[in-house]
Amino acid sequence: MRETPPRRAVILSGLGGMAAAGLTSVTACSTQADVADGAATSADVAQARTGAGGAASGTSADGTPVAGKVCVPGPGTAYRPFRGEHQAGVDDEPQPYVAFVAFTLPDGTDKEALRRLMTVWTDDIERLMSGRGTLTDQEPELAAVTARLTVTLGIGPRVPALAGVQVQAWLAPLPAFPSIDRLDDRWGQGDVLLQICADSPTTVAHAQRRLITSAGELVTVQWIQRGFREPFSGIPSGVPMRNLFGQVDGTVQPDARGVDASLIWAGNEAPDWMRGGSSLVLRRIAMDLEKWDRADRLSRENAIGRRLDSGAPLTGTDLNDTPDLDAVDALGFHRIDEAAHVRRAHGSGVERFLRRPYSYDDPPESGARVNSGLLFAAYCTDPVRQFIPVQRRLAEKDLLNLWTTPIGSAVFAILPGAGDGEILGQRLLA
Amino acid sequence: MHSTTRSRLSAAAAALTLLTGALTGCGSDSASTSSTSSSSTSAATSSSGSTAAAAALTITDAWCKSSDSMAADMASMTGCFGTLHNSTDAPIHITGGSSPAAGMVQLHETVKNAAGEMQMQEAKSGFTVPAKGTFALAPGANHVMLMELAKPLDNGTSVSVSLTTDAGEVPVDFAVRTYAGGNEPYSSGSSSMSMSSS
Ligand code: HEM
Ligand SMILES: [Cu+2]
Repeated sequence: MRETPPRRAVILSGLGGMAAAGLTSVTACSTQADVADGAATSADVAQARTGAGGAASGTSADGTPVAGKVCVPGPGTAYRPFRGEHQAGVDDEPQPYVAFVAFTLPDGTDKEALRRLMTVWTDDIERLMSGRGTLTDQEPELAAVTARLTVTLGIGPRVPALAGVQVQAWLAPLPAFPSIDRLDDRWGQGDVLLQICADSPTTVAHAQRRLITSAGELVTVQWIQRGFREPFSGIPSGVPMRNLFGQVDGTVQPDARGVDASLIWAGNEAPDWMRGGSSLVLRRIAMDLEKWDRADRLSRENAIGRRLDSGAPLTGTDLNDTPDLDAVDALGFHRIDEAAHVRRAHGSGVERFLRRPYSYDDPPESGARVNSGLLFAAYCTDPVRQFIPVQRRLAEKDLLNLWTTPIGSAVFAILPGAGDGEILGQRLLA
Repeated sequence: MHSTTRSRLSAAAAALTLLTGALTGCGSDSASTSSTSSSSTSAATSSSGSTAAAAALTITDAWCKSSDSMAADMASMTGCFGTLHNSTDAPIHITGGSSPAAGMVQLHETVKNAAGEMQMQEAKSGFTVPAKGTFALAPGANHVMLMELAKPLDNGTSVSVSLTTDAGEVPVDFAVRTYAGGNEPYSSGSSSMSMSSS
């Protein structure tokens, strides 16, 4: 695997090359790259661990220090700018920890109350992302570890209505997919969403706490969904994560910062207040790990159409090879199964979106042994045109459905970024 | 004295603008350089003759505790906080203030009473911001107290206050924020109006 270093560069540019910005010192770290490749030696892993813990030098597998090979996966003070055309946290390389927090607006919320909420949160988010405490923060030391914090604000269908503007057709709960859905209202549609991501779980917890507190009575918390990715593969290399099935997940993506930007960011076709914004479809998908335990490796790979070790398509050898959906075996059967996930999910043209999935692994309900799955987060300009056709195909036929069950679903409009002196939602609430 | 400081003041203001501008971009290394507040500097753009005083004295991270987070028996007053910056070569003495939102504005300090509990009371001698220095207004310490509020201060709004100083009136905007702390009871000294908090 180490004989193909160039492919890392490909992956990097694929997800937008965002690791290049602000993280230059880290991308130079070769040991990280080895670990991220999924076949690192235990020495590499131990070393990366030590680096993550902030030790002054790495250690080999047997614990002896390896001088000069420190691998710090990102200084705690790396940060992303808040202001700009788009909000952060969408086309950025996913940080390892997330909290999605949905809020309900109390009855009687009006435009003025929304403006106050956005005023508070805009200021809070800008401060937190730049390493300062919020105005009322009594633990600003926790805010100092920015850890590439991004806080992304989304709104549900009630908000445009309360602001007195027309609600986009797509800003609504997805249609039901009775063949697969077992939705629990507990993870249902919210009025407002904060997506909080960082390299440090403490940073996420602090930002979450401050943002909830500072909103006061303007909102009530509806649900919180926490997720994680492998902290040692995402940083800094941009390699896709492995989900809890062990699959490399997030390989085929639109070029969000390049030619496919218009698939992700709303342009002139959108109302003024959405221009530069996006949408988020958040599906909480339970993964039956106990049933998965009973599937052999061949069936597992067949279900996806990709190899478990390298993530390469069954018709190729490299992660970034394009799956050959037409290839047949000696008996004339498709080498990528008729119902394989990648075949069914593959979209061309407009039926594409950016996936930024996180795993969850929560305490099981009493009597159960697992409570794991995926926080499937997809971003695009128009879910009705881009996302729903794909979801419909998967609901109809997808081998992965044997092990996966959507249990939560919500759709949010991701507001455009805030320009200088603006609050989030400035043009919506003008 | 005012004519000699003016050029220095505008230089300071320009430096602050530069710094603020730099922070909105993507810095190269660390966020720790941004400890100087960018968005919250309440600067000097008053139409009156107080411009020089306002440029001389600025406040960053200015906020008042919202009424909904005040204990019920203290709901008609609230504390305001931030960091005062004196850009001049001479100390600036703040003697009081006024606000359209409040019947009375006092400068408060937090002290231990005879029973050993913290309580707030008027700082009779005012606040002095040292030359080229700062003065912190913080919960549980020195602060500006808005009293006899005309109406509740809502989270996410702002309130304007004019600070009375020996260099003139300094207009300041405080952001209003929900906040759980800062519940020291108030002692007016004369009327022994001690207020408990929950
Ligand atoms: C727990 C649920 C799911 C798991 C474990 C999962 C896993 C995977 C894996 C391993 C791949 C192959 C590597 C890659 O390109 O990322 C993949 C591809 C993909 N998945 Fe999923 N997925 C899930 C749900 C979904 C859902 C709900 C959708 C959309 C409705 C979706 C859309 C896609 C798309 C568009 C691709 C790329 C297909 C291509 O063009 O090759 N997935 N998924
Ligand atoms: Cu007071």
